[in-house]
Amino acid sequence: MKESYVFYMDRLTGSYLDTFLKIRQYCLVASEYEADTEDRLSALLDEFLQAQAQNVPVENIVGKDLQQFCENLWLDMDWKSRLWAIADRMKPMVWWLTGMLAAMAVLLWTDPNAKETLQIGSWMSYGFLACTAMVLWYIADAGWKELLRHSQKVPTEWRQGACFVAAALCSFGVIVILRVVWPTLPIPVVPGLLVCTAFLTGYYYLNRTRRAETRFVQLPGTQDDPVEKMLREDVPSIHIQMKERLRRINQRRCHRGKMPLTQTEFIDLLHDEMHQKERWTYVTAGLMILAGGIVIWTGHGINPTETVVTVVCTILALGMVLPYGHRVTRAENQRIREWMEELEHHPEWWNDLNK
Amino acid sequence: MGIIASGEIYGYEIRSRLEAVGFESVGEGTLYPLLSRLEKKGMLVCRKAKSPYGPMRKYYSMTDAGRAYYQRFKQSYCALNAKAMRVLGASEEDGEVRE
Repeated sequence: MKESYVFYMDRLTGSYLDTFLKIRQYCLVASEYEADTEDRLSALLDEFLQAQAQNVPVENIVGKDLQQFCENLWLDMDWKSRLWAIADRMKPMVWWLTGMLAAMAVLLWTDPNAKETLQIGSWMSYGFLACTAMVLWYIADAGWKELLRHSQKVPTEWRQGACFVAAALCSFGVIVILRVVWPTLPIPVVPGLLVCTAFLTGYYYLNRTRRAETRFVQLPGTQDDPVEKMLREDVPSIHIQMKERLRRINQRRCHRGKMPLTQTEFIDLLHDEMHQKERWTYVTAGLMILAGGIVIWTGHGINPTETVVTVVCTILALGMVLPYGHRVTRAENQRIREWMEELEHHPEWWNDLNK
Repeated sequence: MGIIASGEIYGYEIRSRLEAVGFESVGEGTLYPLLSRLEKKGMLVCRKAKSPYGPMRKYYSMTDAGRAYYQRFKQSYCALNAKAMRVLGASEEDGEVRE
């Protein structure tokens, strides 16, 4: 089982921990490629731990200019890895565009009346419009990432505001494109905008763990909303999170006159919670499929072309959201399972949890 | 490369030995990119293992190609150094004669 350096971050203290967290934030924002970041930060953490043990000042490792040190680390990253990271980020947008264009191509080929129904003048111009919207979105996203890279503190309200504005702009762009390409689309603009915003916001919410882990790691002591703060407490150490969790559970049990949890009982409790979380993911998926079915059913009987396009768009939207939600929940549970396996091999961890 | 030639070693130890001989300003921002480049050129090989402190650590050792390159470099550097010392030595004698 591969062990992450994150397990050992809580062994750092004082200026060593502060400096390492700043460097980690910089690396995780600068590079989308976790393999690059994992190796680099693991080696750096090892150096910091050794320096701490030998009372060597942290400036001996990073120099006097921390910003320059981080810039050098980022510049050293392989340019091919950076290109792959950019391509990886553009994949969902490319799938979305390809799906829309493929649906239109199939309709034009199979339905003689499709051109008139869709009122397509030149479908290449609409494809160009979609490409332009996606490129602008990517530029805005890259610009935001660049801002984060140069700023060690990012206000929470900026991130939340940017998230909702981006979701609304994306939704509006999709609606505009559909209305331009398909003026007779039987979906009113404002409710459609709200539904798409809900879909995209749901996607960002389901993906919040990965986002917090890879993009929005904050310095300790900054003010934040409870969800983001909890996620950042998860990221440095599952062990610290579990320690706090066990302390709260045992406190409640003591107030009710019950004995504290044993190690076996605590592990069983965590297993039950993870199963519940995964079950809720399936419930959410079922509700989304139901919503998609309702959309399809309301479009039934209008004409085959509109029904097919509605089905394709709904499947594409669900296909983007559901796998991410399931993957994020599984990834989060996998990290906790790995920690529980380690707990069985390290009896001293249980003693530390109960301190 | 001279430090790595003596045996398998990791980044922190390389920097400590460099500082011990007087290279005090070699930071990780300089050292690790250099090690990466040497690894890509086939001069070094890297092995990952768990360090005593917990995280994974990279241990570097020299390949045969790296050893050959290092020997060539050492020979040409020593030859250059000898020539430079002869010039500098001759300059000092000239300076003393003129005085």
